[in-house]
Amino acid sequence: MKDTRYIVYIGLLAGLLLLLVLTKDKQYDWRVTYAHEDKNPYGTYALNKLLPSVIKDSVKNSYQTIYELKDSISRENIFVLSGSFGPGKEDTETLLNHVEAGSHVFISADYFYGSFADTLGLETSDSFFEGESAFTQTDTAKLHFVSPVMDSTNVFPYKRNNIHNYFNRLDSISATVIAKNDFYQPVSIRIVKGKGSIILNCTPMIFTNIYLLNEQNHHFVSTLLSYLPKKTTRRTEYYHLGRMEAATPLRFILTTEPLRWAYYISIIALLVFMIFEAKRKQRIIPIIKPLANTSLEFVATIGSLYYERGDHKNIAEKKIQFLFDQIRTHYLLNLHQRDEGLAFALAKKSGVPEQTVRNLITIINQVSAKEKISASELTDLNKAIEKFQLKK
Amino acid sequence: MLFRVKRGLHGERLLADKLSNGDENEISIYLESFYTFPISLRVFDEIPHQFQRRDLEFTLHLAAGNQKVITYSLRPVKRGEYYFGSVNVLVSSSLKLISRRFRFSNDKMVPVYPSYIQMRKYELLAISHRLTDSGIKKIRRIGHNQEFELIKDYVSGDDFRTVNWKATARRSKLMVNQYQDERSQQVYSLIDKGRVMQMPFAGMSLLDYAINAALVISNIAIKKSDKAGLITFQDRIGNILPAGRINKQMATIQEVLYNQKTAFLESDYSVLYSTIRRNLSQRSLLLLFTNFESIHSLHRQLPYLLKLNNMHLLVVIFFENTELQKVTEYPANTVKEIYYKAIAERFSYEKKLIVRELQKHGIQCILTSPEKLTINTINKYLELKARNLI
Repeated sequence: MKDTRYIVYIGLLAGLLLLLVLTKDKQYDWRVTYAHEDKNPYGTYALNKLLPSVIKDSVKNSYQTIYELKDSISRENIFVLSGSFGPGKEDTETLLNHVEAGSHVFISADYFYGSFADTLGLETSDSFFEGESAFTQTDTAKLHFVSPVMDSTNVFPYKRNNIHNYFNRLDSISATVIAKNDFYQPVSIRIVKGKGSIILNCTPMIFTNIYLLNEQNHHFVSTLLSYLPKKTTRRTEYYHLGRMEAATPLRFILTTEPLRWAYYISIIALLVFMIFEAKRKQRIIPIIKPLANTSLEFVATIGSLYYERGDHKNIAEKKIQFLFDQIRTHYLLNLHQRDEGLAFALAKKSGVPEQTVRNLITIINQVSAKEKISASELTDLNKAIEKFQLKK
Repeated sequence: MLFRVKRGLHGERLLADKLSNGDENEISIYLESFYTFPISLRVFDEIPHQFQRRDLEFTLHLAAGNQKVITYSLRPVKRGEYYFGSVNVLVSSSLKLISRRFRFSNDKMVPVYPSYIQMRKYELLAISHRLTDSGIKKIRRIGHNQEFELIKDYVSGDDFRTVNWKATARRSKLMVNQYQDERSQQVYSLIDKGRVMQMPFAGMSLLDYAINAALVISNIAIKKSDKAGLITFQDRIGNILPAGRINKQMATIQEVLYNQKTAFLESDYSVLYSTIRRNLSQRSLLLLFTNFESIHSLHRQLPYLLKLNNMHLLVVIFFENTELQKVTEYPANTVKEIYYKAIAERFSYEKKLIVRELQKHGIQCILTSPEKLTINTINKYLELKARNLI
C-alpha cells in the first residue's frame, strides 16, 4: 500500500517536471560551435547552405586532420573554420605541400599559432583592449575590403565583442591584405605559395548564422570566399570540434568490426555473470561492534599526561622500581647494596654478561642520585634495562 | 541435467543442542549426492550473526552418489540465543555453467551456555583423582586429614610423611596413604557483575570467564562431595543460590549462570557483606571473582574483604591485564614509547602490590591471566582443601 503511494508521488513529480520542461521558453544555445549542421546563433548552418553556391561545386564535410585527409584529396580546396588554428608539424607540412602543389586553402581562426604561424611569419592579436581606443571605441566593428577593384567605403558592421582580432605581424613580401577593420588593421590576407595560395582570416565569427544572416553581411562572406577557385571543397571541422566519432580510448576497437563484436560480447557476458553471481548466497549479517578492550588506550592517555609534564625522573623511578621487583621475585636478590657484588651475583643468576649488568647498575645508580634527568638519560636507562630483559 | 533429478542432494547440519561459551564448538554439515555424475559444490552456511563472519564458504567435489561431511568450529564469546539460518549449497556440474541451489536445515535456535565443555573436561579429571598428574600443575598437599581413603603409588610431590612402609615393603615400591578430604564444605562462587568485569580479553568479557570458571569449580566441588553455591552481585545482589550437592544442583547452577545479565554498574561490597553475613551461617570457601586495576580500588573494598575473611575463607580472584603485556614486552624506541611502557609496567606492578596487600591481611588471592583462570581456581581450591583451611 505504502509502496504504491510512493510510486504515485514519484510519477506525479516526474509529470510536473516534464510539463515544466515542455512549457519553458526556448533557450538559445550560445556556444560557439561553427558546426555545419548547427542552427544555433554561432553554428554555421547558413554557411553550409551558402558555400556550394559560392564555389559552384560540392562541399564535403569531414572531421579529420589534413594529414589524415592527405590521400583522399587530390587538388581539392580545403576550408577550415576554428576558434584557434595551431596544427602539428606533420599537419603543417602536409598543408603547405598541398598548397605548393597547386591547391587553395581557406582558414579562418581567431588565433594562429604553432609551427603553421611560425612558417608563414604570422601573429594574431586582440584589438579589444589595445591602445587608447579601449574606452572610446564604438560597439560596432566595421570590416571593409582594401582591394582597389572594390569599394573600400562599403563597410560591413559586426559586434565588436565578437570581431576584434587582427594580424599584427605578417610577411609583407608574400602576403597580400584583403580586408581590414575600422582601425585599418588587416583581418584577412592571402599568401601565395608555389602553385597555390592560402587565404587566412582571423574573424571566424563572420561565418556564423547570426552574422551571416544580418543585413548585407553575406556579401562580405561570399566575396571573401570567392578568393577560392571554383572547385570541389573539403571542409574539415576537426580543428574546432575534434573527431566527432566516439572520443574514447576504445576508438580503435569500436572502428574495427570483429574487435567491436568481441568487445560487446565480453560486456554482455560480464553483465550476465554479474546478474547471476551478484545474487545473495546467504542472509544479511548485521554489524555488531565487539566489546573493545580499552586498557591500551588508557595506558596511552595516562602516558601522554605524564609525557606532557615531562618529569623524566619520575618515569625513570617507575622503571627502576618495576625492574627491581622483577629481579627480587625472579632471582631473590637483595637490592639495597647496588655494587660490584650485586652485579656479579645478578650476572651469574640471570645469565646476562657481567658487563651488561654492571653497565645497568651504573646507570641506575647515576639516575637515582640525580634530582632531575634529561630525555637522553631516560633513553639510555631504558636501553640498558631492555638489554638486560631481552637477554634474560 | 542438474534440474532433472528432483531430489539431487541431501544435506543436514549437525550440531549440539547447546554451545559452550569460550570454547571451540564443532559443527558438521553432512552432504549426500544422488546425482549420477560428479558435481562440485559451494556451501554457504548461515551461521548466527554474533560471529560476524561473512566468509564461511566451502568448496568441494562429490562423486556420483557419494557423501561427505564438512566440519568446522565456532567459538562464541557471549552467552545467549544464537540463530542459525539455513545451509545454502550451490551445485554445479563439471562444466560449471549454471548452478542449482539447495537449502536445508532451516532456522534453528541454539543457546550458548557457560563453558560446559571445560566443565566435563575437569570433571573427569577430578573424579579419577588425576588432576595432579595430567595437565594441571602438581600440588604439594601439605595438610593432613583424618580419614584414611586409600593406598596409592608415590608420585613426586606427595608428602613423604604419609609413606605406608608396610605397603611399600609388600609391593617393593613406594606407596603412600591417601586421606580423605574433608567433605560437605560449602564453596560459594561470588561473581562481581560490576563495571570492572566488562573488559574483554580474546573477545570474551571477564564476567564470562568468571562464569565459566564458577561453573567448573562448582562442578568439581560437588564431585568432591562439597556443596557448591552461587552469589552474584553488582550494585545490589543478583542471585543467591544456597550451597547444596543434591543431584539437581549442577543443572540449577548452570541455568542461573546462563541467565546472568548485567548493566556493569559499580559493585557494592557492603551489600555483599551484609547478605553473606545474614545468609551464610557455616564457614565457607568464598571464591570472589572480581578485578582490581589499582591499589586504590582495592583499598576502597578492603574493609569488607577483611570482614568476610574473618568469618569465612575468602579467595579474591582477579586478573592480569594480558593486553598490557604486549606493551611491556616490546622494546620502546622513542621517549613517548618509554613513557607508555613505564606506565604499562606500573600498572602490572600495581597488580603485584595488590597481591601483597591482600597477603599482608591474610586474604588468599589468585592473580591470573583470563585464559588460565579456571585451572588456577581449581588448583587453589584443591590446595586450600588439602591444607584444611576451610
